[in-house]
Amino acid sequence: MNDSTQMIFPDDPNKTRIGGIDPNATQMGTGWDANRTAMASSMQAITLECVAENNYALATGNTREHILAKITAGGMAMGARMPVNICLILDHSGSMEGPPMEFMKQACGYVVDLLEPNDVLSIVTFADNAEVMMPARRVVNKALIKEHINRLDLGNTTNLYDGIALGCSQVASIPAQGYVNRALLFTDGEPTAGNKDFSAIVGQVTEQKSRGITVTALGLGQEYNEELLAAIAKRSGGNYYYITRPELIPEVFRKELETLMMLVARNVRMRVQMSRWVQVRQIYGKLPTFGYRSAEVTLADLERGEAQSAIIELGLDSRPGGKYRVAKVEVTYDDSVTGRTETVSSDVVVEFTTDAGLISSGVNPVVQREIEVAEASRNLEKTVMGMRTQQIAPADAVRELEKTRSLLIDQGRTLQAQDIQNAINDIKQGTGAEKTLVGTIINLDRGKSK
Amino acid sequence: MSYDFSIDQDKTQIGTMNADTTQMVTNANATQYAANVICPVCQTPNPPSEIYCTDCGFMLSAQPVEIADIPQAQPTGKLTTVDGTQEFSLQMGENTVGRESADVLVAHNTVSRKHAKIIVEGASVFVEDMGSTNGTYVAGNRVMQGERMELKDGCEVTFGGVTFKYTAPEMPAGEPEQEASTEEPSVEPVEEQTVESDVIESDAIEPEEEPQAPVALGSMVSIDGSLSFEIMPGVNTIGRRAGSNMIVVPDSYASGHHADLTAEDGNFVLTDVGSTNGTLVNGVKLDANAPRELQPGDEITIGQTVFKIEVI
Repeated sequence: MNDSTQMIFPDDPNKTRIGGIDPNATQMGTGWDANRTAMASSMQAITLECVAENNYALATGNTREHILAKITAGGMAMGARMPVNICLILDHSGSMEGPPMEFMKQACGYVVDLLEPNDVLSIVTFADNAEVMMPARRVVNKALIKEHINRLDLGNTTNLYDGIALGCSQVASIPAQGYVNRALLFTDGEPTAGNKDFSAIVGQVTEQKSRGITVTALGLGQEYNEELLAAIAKRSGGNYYYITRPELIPEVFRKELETLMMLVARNVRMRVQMSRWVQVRQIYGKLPTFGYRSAEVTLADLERGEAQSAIIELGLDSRPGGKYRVAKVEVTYDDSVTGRTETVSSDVVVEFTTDAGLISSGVNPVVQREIEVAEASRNLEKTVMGMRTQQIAPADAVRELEKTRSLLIDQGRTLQAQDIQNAINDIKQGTGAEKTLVGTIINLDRGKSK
Repeated sequence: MSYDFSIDQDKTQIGTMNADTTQMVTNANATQYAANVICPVCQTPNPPSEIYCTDCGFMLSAQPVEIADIPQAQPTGKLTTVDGTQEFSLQMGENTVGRESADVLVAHNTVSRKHAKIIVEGASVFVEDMGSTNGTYVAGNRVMQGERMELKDGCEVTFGGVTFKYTAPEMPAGEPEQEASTEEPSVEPVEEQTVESDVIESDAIEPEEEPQAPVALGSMVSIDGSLSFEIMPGVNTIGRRAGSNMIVVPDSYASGHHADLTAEDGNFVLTDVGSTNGTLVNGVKLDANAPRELQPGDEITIGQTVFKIEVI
């Protein structure tokens, strides 16, 4: 019944949005000081909390320690929303003929309707080449913009690379200050013209991200390359949508635009500053860049009332007993309301001891559950890879997915469990499930929740 | 008084960098006049406003608990990235190398999840490849699957596209250095006489001198003459990002880490490491991660900047 578009962040209208200062939303395990939370969230759009898997570590040997960093955006609307600066990057290759084209035009019309006069819109189309249909400008004459959109014709091939480049240059033509910017990349096929190289396309998106431009990837139907679109969304911190049927395009565009208008934190980066005798062994699902005793990763943008988490695995060396700050975690982001760059930080303190009793008593089950979810995401990745390369038979894939699904249900990840159920149904009906599952993986890796 | 919450470990401190919160005193306006606090664990002097040692993280309000049976820290070798940003101390036994959950974590697309392992056996250190996609190299020689290669002090080991330098543990014998320097004057008179003796002697001394003053083997000069970089022995990383590259190209069309220029045995080899806009040699685009040998006078294009290679 719920066969509609499987989106990364399905919006459940029945669910009350939990505010950032609601103790149920922020309390993780033990000892949360409600007063300080309230104080922090009234000044900062987001709060950061770090919890160690174990508050104790062995002083006489090397220990592995996991840190759960949870980043929560405040739930209150704080003043007017910032104007958006968006570029629609639209595929009009030959395969878009018929309903896809009609619904895409309708979707663009919706976007135009939702924007206000101080928002900026640009439209770039790509087929054999990329072209600017409408340069970045304020949305004043809505009827005229729609007329332009309706004139769009079909081309032949799919030049994704040039489309992204031109679209991002339109976003960049407006000073970043004062706008929430986003490029919406919509495609129904594999890149077939221009630079078709996977790593070149993803590399370009990474470069654009370093200039502060986020790309959301929207894939329609069965022909697009989900691995590529997922990588774009992942590197960019934008969203990934799998649109199963053309008539769902307008709904998904509307959803993405609403997400954008609810953003409170953009360009979210997490930096782990290690003390001496500490190494970062991995940050689950992410590729860190390293500096002197530091590791840094890009996180996804955050909507109002939304939370995301990251798991950091540390290696701790032996040392004299006592309490140590093993790491300091800093999250830097652009506040979408004020436009300022803000930083929140949290110390990770571990006591080094030889008392085995203390060590076994110090385990935090919340963190262990999150690690299981992160590992489920890795297993999912392996299953998808196996399905894609046809090294896993459908029956085995279903068995693996069932395992992951029941684990996610145990951990309360019902939305992702539902995604996996949909994927299982798809496989049983003989259709591909990879397009759904790559979205589930992104979602699990971001640890997003509302 | 501001320590009370920090002692409670279960409680996370919300970072409030804002100036108007009075609890957290920032270093800027606090320290200068008061005496530094010496960390009892690592002896680092800390401003009195610090709750935790800025180096080892020890909570400065407490005393460390001496633990009798801490195993004697055996001197072990270490791996350092060419740009010096990452350093890994090797442990006795097996050290895993890879992109995920590894003792030597190398976050790079050219590195496999489980790439290689380094085995420390007494004073000997070996590298084994674990079936990585892009291979493991010791001083430019590929480590074949099932093969073990020994790491010697100062040699380079490459995992995929990332190169480390191996430094052996310091041995108690520090004397040889002095012997070498006292020998030096006696060598001088002979120096200009025969080529052979020169080569032999300088070979003996070189290991001492090299780390102090590496000599540029060539240079990379932009066509307009505005940029000039020395090419040092080993891998020279090229890219736009300052701080992590040895050759920083201020060109917005250059990638953060764009290419590697390796100088070895008198040869220069250029490898594009998967840059967005590509690397050109005499106008011909290089395939990513495919090394290309350079000749003096070759023109290379990084982003939109063209350089000429000169050999000293």
